[in-house]
Amino acid sequence: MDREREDRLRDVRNTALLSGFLGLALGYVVFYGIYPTLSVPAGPEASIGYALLLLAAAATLAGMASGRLALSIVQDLLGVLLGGVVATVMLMSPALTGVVLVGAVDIPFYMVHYGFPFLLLGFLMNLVFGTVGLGFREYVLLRYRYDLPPSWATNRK
Amino acid sequence: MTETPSGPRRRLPPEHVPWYLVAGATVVLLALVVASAGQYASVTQAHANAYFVPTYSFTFQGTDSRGVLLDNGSVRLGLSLAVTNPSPRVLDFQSIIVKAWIGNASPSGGFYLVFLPTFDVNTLPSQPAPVSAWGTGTLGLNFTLSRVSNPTRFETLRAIQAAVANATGTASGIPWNLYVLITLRVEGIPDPIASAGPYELNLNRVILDWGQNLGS
Repeated sequence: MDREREDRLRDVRNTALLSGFLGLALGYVVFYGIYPTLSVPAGPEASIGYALLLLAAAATLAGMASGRLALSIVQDLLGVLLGGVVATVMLMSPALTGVVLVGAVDIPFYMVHYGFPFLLLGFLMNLVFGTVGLGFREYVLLRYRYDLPPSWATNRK
Repeated sequence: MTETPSGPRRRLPPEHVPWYLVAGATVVLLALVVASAGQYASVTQAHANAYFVPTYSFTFQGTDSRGVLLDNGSVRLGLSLAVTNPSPRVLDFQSIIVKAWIGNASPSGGFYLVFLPTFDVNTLPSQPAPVSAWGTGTLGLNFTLSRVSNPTRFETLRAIQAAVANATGTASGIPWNLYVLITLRVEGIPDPIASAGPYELNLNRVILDWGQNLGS
């Protein structure tokens, strides 16, 4: 029973961490999509290739780390929500310097209005590349373990 | 098993590898997020806090005893624009619009536009120094109006002066109205593409004005 509870707690913790990671990537991409000239790296317009690459890499890594399809889907959804939160916080950053140009209540709407295509893109990329990451974990990464010298297994808990 | 002086070497379990990659990627993403938010905040700070105060004078040369310009006279507008930049961004002078009106004593009243110089700073013979971060920068300008430079405006100015002098005995003391609009470019921020959203088009330009714009 304790083992089961421990596993559940680990799942919750992993899902929260990976959702946060996906949210960080998506939030950055949403901000980059809205303000490509003010982002780092800056450019005259948002590079779709860069945004796709970043989202794909993050989703693949999260899928690889997750290891379970059901949890992977949950973290994809949570990642989109947290992505909105991260982008909103980034858009509120001028307040830290005492500059308030737009009311705090309006910023989430502003973010959704201009960042919606990127939020949608992030959700789709999370689903597709999260699954790719899961597949990579199952069919490539974990097989590597079987190729290790047998003596290695004795060192594992 | 690989032996080391301190004992058997522990290998990284493959299922842990993605977590190390996630940790590394998180550090990179955090750096990008903080740098981007910082860049945004600093540019917003420049937009919100930068300001300038002009000091100016009108100097008449070649006038009669009442202060009315002679045919070979001229009026010079000396202008000094002191920009204060309480932000971490460096600002470059880009373009200036100056409008100076003189009070019109004719029955129609109002003001008459005497000076209307509009120019790109790149066309100046010597480039002004940029306004440093957390600092100030000053741009000095002189404009002269004479019969040679703009006969129509010059003659109208003379007519206004003459009307005032005829009524009051002197052409001095006629009120002026000055309006200045300067555009400063925020260094390090690229120009957006032409089809960029309207909210994005002037992000790398701080536009400041002073005075009352009475139109053209």
